[in-house]
Amino acid sequence: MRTPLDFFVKFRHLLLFIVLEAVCMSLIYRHNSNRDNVVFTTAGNVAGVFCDISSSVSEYFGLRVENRRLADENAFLRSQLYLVRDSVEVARLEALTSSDSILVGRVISNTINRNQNYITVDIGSVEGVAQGMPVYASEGVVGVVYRVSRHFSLVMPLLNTSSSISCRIRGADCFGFLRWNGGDIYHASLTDLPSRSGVFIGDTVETSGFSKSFQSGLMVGIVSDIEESEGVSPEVTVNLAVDFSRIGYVYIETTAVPQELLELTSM
Amino acid sequence: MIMLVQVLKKVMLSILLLAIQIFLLNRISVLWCATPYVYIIMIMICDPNGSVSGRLVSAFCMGLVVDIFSDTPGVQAAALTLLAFLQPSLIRLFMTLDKRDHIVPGAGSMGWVSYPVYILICTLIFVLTVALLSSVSSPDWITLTVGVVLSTLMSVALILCIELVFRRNIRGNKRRRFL
Repeated sequence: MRTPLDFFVKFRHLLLFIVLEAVCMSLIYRHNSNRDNVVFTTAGNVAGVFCDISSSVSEYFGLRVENRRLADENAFLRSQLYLVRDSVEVARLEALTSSDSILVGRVISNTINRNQNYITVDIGSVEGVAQGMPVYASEGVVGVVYRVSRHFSLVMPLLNTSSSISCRIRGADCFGFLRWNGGDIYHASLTDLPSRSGVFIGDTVETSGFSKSFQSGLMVGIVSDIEESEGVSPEVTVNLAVDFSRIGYVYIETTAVPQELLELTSM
Repeated sequence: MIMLVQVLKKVMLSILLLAIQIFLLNRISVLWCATPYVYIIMIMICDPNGSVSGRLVSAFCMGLVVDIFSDTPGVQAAALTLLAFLQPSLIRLFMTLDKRDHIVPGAGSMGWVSYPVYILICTLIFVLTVALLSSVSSPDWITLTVGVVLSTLMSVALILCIELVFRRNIRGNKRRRFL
């Protein structure tokens, strides 16, 4: 006589396969929908520690390049400082440097070969990082904090097809959204610009300040190609300022994003 | 005792291949869309007459470990579990199996014509599943196709190199197997 037990014994391998696949599908769904879940990512405590060790080893071999980059950045910042020393900007700069509003994070994991790329940084909620905070490098905008654990943060960079940042053309009154379509890590598209926006190759693209995370005027990239058609929004290709394949350290601005605004924009 | 040593050897080898995959190969990005996978060889060379549950669970665990370090929870675990489920059927395409046989799939048991084709089919199934699950929300078919083709070719080349170097280490007439 056939019983349910016979059925389970006969098809136990198939049932196990179905259960395991169901667990996988649930993990994929939860990763895409629940931003509080960091357990199965590099921002989790165990994986984060391993990535941290691995990054420390590989970082050692890139010290010469990193030193060169820091020296260049130092020189640039000094030149900027001389320009504003005697102006009213000094008070603003002093206020900025005396506060703890900018944190420096080391990149411990970084992917560039997928549609959904992420960057893991070695600072988390203990240091004051929270979801939605803006992340940038010395060259320009990197992305926003996506998930946070106690000691690590997962950043959604511009190189993620789900990322969309409000941008404008410097010196022109036109706004659009910067989106990445996958593939080429050096270029992204600026969409939803008005049809007669007066954009030219070589124009600077910067943050508009309309986004909940970024203040206005942060460097994003340079317009490298424009395809215009009559009556429709031009297709603008932007050469990104940040080289995501060589990113070593990032800055996270810890200016709090109002919870009410986060809830409103996630609805 | 010999059985325990063999299991330990396999576990150590799996850990080594997982480390290579996570800390080395995952950082390779050809044309920003292709990555080679070598840890999947551990499922391909499983005895098709061995424990099915063991193969499925170990495939799930190995895939999940790589997923955690790639920020793709569930994707590689799903693909490798699928491969582990299909593996005996794929082996049967190339050789007749007796249920009592203890077979270690490889160039030695399958031949240098069948084995590369078997590796190619297995890798293609894995890479295609990973690519489809990764880009389910916003598929870019051209990038996806290029990525699948390049990833498969690189993975097959690396797996065959491993077969040549480690699994066919011939000293005189004596053949030693490390995998």
